[in-house]
Amino acid sequence: MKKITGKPPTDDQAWKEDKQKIPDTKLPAALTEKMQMLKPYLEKSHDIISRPFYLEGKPPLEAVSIYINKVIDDEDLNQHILRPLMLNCKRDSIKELGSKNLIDAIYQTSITLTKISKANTLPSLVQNIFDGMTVLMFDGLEEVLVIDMHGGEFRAIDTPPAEQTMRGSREGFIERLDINIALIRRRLRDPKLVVEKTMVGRRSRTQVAVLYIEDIADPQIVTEVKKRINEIDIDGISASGFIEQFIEDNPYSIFPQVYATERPDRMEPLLLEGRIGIIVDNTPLALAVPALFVQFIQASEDYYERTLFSSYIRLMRYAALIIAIFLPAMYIALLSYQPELLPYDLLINFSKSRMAVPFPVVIEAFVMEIIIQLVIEAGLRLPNQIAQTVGVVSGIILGQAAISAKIASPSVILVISLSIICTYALPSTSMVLAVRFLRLPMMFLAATFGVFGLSCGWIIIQAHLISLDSMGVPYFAPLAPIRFGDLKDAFYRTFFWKMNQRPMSIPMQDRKRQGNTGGGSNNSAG
Amino acid sequence: MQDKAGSLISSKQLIFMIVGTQVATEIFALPRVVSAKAGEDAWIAVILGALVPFISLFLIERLGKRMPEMGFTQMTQALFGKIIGSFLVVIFVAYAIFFESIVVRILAEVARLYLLPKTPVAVIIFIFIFITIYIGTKGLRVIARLNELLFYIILLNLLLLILIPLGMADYTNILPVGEVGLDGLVRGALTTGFQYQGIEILLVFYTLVTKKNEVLKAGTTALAITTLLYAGVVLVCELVLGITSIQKLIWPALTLLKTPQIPVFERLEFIFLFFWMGMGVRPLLNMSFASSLSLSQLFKIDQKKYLPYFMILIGLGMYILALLPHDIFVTYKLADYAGYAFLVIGLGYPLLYHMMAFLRGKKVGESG
Repeated sequence: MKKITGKPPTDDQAWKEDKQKIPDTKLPAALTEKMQMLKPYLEKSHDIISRPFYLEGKPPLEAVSIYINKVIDDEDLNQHILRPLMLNCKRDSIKELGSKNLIDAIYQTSITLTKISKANTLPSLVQNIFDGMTVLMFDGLEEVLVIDMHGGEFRAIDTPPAEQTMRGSREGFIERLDINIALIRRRLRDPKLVVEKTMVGRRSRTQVAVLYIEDIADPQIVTEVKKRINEIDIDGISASGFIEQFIEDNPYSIFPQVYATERPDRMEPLLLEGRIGIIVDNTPLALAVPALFVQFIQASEDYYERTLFSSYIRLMRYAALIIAIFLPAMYIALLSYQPELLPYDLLINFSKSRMAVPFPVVIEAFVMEIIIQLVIEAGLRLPNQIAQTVGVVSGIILGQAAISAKIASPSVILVISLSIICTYALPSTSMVLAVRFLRLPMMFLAATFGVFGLSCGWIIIQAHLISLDSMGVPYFAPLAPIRFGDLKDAFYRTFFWKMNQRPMSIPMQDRKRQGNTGGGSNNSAG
Repeated sequence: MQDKAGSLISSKQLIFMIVGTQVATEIFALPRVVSAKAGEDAWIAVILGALVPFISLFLIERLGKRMPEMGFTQMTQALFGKIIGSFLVVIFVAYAIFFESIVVRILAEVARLYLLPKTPVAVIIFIFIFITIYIGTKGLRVIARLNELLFYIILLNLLLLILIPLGMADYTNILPVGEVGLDGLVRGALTTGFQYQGIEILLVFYTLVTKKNEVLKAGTTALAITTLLYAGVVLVCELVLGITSIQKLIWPALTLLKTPQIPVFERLEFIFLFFWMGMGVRPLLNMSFASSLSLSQLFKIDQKKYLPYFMILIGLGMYILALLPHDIFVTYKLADYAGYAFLVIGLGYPLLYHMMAFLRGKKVGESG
């Protein structure tokens, strides 16, 4: 296996020990002392609220709740902690349960929330506060109660913007890990679905969940994925893209080797095919490994529409992939090196349209390609209204003006824009980026060696794709090494009742997918 | 688990590698070469000629069975001793370089003729060898898979080459059958026998195959595929062009592409030449990998680490040798010598090894 890049130098001990800067001491009993100990960590954070209150009784028990503003659910705090503790908690009746376990008695009788744990050391107390827990401290008790009631404002579940479908579910992942996991659990009620949470990032302490189906996923790959995630040593993770870049096999490749999706209903079949899902808190894009090249050409819509149309549209997408990478290069190669390979009339049309243009085909195509790439880049981050204007200006005015100013011929604009459209016919955004990147080198090769250059470009891309791995699994798998059984879901999509086996390209324990024997008979004759 | 997969190939991949090594440049000149000897019966001669590589395959397979765990270099050194053994390996490597230099020269000449008339042939050869080295350094795993994928692509290409011109076939071109007589057929078959070079890589690849008992089957399949392709191309060339015009063309099979008029595409050549690199890179890759592997075993050094350097060294050798012939005719003269060399390596080597193994008795097997 490749080494994971970005590992810190091992001799960097000081940095490693940095983690233990909170002194590992037990908490004292007295509340004032505890507050005193906490003070250095809390006094500079104005968003941390400590709310003192008393539990009823003689003498009243002094208590403090500490939490981060808006990270917890205010309503829960009022209804389920403060109200029962302040109003209903009878200290005398609790005492009957035994003074030793007073803290247990308190939460067992008076707190109506479920996710409660206890802490008794300073580091865990501080860490729990900053992890967004509500902490309850009582006078005279060494242990503190840690209550998980994350809440606050979050984006609601919404349609996934980059992967829309007509017939699929409208739900997309959101920024909250627990909700995302629940979205998958709701779809996949298998008790064998494993959800393992770890923490990545020294300072950001981002929660990362690894999901897989225990009796399908290959245990070797599961361990490998978990190992790679645990080896990540970084201060903060702000999106799942960080994880992707740490765990991928070939960082020097432009092809995406980790599949990212924002659809839970896309994630579910991936898990069922023995892949491993990785969901990162605060990112609405979940990751799935091992990823195959063909996967980036498949869209979830392919599985929701009927087989024949899906197969047709998938073949179209492969054509789009080839056009997107090679069309401008082919145009250059044919026009400037091998015009004899073009039909005669077409060649005349091309040359007529190029008559007034003072540049060679190469320059013309290069300039247009770069302009369009920049237009895309400009439109990406603009607010919708302005982006529309940019689109109109670039699409209609720029193109027309370039033609009338005799800087570009209509044919080159046609070729470049066709390849751009084809680029965006690909369903995966990360593959779109790879294709956008590839076009220019191909044009360069075509400009230097014509069709021979194209041939070189093709074989280099091919060899590169074949050499890639995703989690040790051949990336170009159903094609090289060729697996005929898997081709039924690569270039086209066969009927579901014919997909008896899970794909061979992914190592797994359980191959059998389904037991239906014939589609037609299922519906008609029975 | 990756390391293991990285240094072995499946018997299926062996088929593709043998076909990939064989089917490259020979196929284009084959109709001319064979019909010069066998006239109208060239296509029969091609099928008969397949006997030569079949014998070679059989001999090498038996040899491999004798010492299945030993690589080519170890086997040679175990049989002939250190010095003579090393000498034999070096000859094998020299042969591989010589053979491939001719292949790359012809590939480059075709590319120059059809695609880049103004580019010096040295540049085109350089590109071929550069790409070979680039892919070769990625290791056997990638080479085997690339062979696999290219097999299907090139097969489609060749089928296109065979099937599309069929519409213009004139069956009287191959009549009368059997005119050259047995003598002409045998001479034609021998000439074709040289054209099947490529099977000798089995000497090196035998130990790398995971299931040794399937080697013979895989080799036979590969040879059958090659024979069919060769015979198909020769037959179609005869049918469409006739043997008199075949004699006047350097690459009759490529001329075949020019004959059909296809709407929209205009000329079939574009599709064919687009995959030219894939056609050429396979024998270069397989041969240079086989020889770098043998060399690294000869020097007993870490294969993984030093293979790229040997690859570069062999690429350099190929480059220099490929530039030596003055023009394409000299190249084809040399190609004839390469054909004789194939007889030595493909038939002579296994026979010699068998004899040596027989003389040495069972000792060799035990020591290995």
